Amino acid sequence: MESIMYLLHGFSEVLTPFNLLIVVMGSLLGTLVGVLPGLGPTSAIAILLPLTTILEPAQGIMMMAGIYYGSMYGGSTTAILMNIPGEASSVPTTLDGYPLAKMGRAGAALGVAAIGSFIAGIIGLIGLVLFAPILADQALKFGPPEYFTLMLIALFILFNLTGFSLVKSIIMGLFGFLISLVGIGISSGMPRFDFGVDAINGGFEMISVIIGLFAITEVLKGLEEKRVSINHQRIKNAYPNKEDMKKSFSPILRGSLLGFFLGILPGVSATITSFLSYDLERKVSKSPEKFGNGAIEGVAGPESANNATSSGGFIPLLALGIPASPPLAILLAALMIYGLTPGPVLFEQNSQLVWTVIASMFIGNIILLILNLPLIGLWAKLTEVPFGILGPVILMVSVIGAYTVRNSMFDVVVAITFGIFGYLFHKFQWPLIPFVLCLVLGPKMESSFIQSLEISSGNVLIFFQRPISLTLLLLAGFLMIISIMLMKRTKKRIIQETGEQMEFS
Amino acid sequence: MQIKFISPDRIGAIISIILGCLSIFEAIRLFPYGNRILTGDHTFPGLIGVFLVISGGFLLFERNSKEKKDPVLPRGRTAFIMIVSIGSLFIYCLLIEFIGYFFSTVITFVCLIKIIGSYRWIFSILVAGVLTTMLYFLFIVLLKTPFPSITWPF
Repeated sequence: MESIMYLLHGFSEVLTPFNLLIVVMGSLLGTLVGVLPGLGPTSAIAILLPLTTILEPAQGIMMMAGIYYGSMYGGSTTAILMNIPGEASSVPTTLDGYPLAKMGRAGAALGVAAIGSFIAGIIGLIGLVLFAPILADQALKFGPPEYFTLMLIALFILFNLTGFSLVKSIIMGLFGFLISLVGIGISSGMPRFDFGVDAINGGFEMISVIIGLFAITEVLKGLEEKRVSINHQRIKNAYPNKEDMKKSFSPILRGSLLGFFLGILPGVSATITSFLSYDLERKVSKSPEKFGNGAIEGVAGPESANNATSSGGFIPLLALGIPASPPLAILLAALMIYGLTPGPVLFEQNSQLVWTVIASMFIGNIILLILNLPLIGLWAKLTEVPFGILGPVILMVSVIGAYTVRNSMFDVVVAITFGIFGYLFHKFQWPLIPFVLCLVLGPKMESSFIQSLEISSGNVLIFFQRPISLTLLLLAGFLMIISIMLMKRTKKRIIQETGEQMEFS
Repeated sequence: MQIKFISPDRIGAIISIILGCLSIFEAIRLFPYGNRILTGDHTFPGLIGVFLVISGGFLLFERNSKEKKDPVLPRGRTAFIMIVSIGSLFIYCLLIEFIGYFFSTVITFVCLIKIIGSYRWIFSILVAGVLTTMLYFLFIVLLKTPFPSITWPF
């Protein structure tokens, strides 16, 4: 009940002209970047993050959330119209979305995807309102050892889920940690890994690294693939008919619930739930032979599951400070830039801000639905922007954006260098997810670890002696087995459908 | 550009071992500033260093599957475009300090549009001018970012 009151107060905060404008801008900007071929939510947030830094924390985070939702929505546009999944989680959408577009029913597919995303988003947010405060309340009992165990477990499960080699994932995670350690040490105040270079004393700016890895790398990938503007299937009508909606209703509901409940578990990504939802729909369908040839249920289910999982990911992010996916890791970095510490303390100390942001997500979802259905034609036109213009724009916005964070040219050099690294990582199949997660969580993990050992006078058994910590470890073992099984299944399905290995999102 | 003697994964493994050793070296340097063996600024660099060396070792001696094809880096014009694009960005970092935001941004934009899009000079210059102005309004006028600017001698 208390949560509802806080949420209502949050709505009253969001429903001011300026805040509404921020949410609208975030949703539109996110969709704008998300519809550009090859750019997914992570790149969209990385490119647009510097633009939000001049805003107040609440407005900045509202805009980031809008960008996240908008770019998720934009991703389905390219999947349906051009058969280009922005991320692995959009692959199931292409299976029936593109055949529908070829049949001249792109509008119906896009409309169902938008409605499905909206319903799933709202279901996910209701779950967030109901569960996040309870989880945060429980997490208040956590001390540094429990936090350390929790973060370690989350990382280990996620490492295993990248879709690539486990050893390479671990090395990438350790490399992310290493980068996060550069700068002034937390206990002694001594510079670490500076090797006498003054510029490194302050450490690497997380945003510059992220911009490099996701935005600059994306352009290099585009250059290699010789991306050009792609002609897409024409859209005749952006609204699905009554028959489409009747067919899609149950898949949307099933996808949303499946995506949300599995999405809360660490290690179950949007890629896993969208594939599961697609396979579930095919299994329960009376005419499974239509799947792959333009079944609207094949778009409705996975799109809803994808969005519900993303909304569900906000629960561990806001209540525990643990991101479940790369875009959420970047959002966590953004929260840290604003001086906020996600986790149970956030609900205690900044409850007004948290509830305003949650309320803005409800409004953002509604805005996306209202604006995007009529604007589908315009978004589709945007996909025709030639890469010869788009590439230079992304590069320059990235470079200038990296500069704006600390007004430092060193950060720009860091962004460009990590852009090159990101390309090489992609090329030689070194997964980026563990790197980003460890980069963002590194400082927090280090302080929890050192505090834990200070409590126990250096005894490492503290992580096994405390009941909550031990329970978390046992639970992790169980979750790990489930996630390995699901991961293997999804890996097989991706290779079946695309013929190649893809990094999970 | 395909490396025949050593696979890319093995190169990654060697880099991982080198980084691990570097991290252990840093931990040893920082050790005197810590309280105990596991509490101090040296703890994480030490642990990460050890794990990097172990993981690198695992990858180094992992048997490569014969079916797995090593990726090949781009060659020819594609490689040229990629190198020039990245090179332009590095040059931009130097240029902006000397000739300020506007001119350096226009020059870099022209270079990137010409090389990536292969458009005609006049089109590249026009588009570069428009885009630079748009970014000027966004980052300098709206976001008030203090970029380096030229101090005219007159």
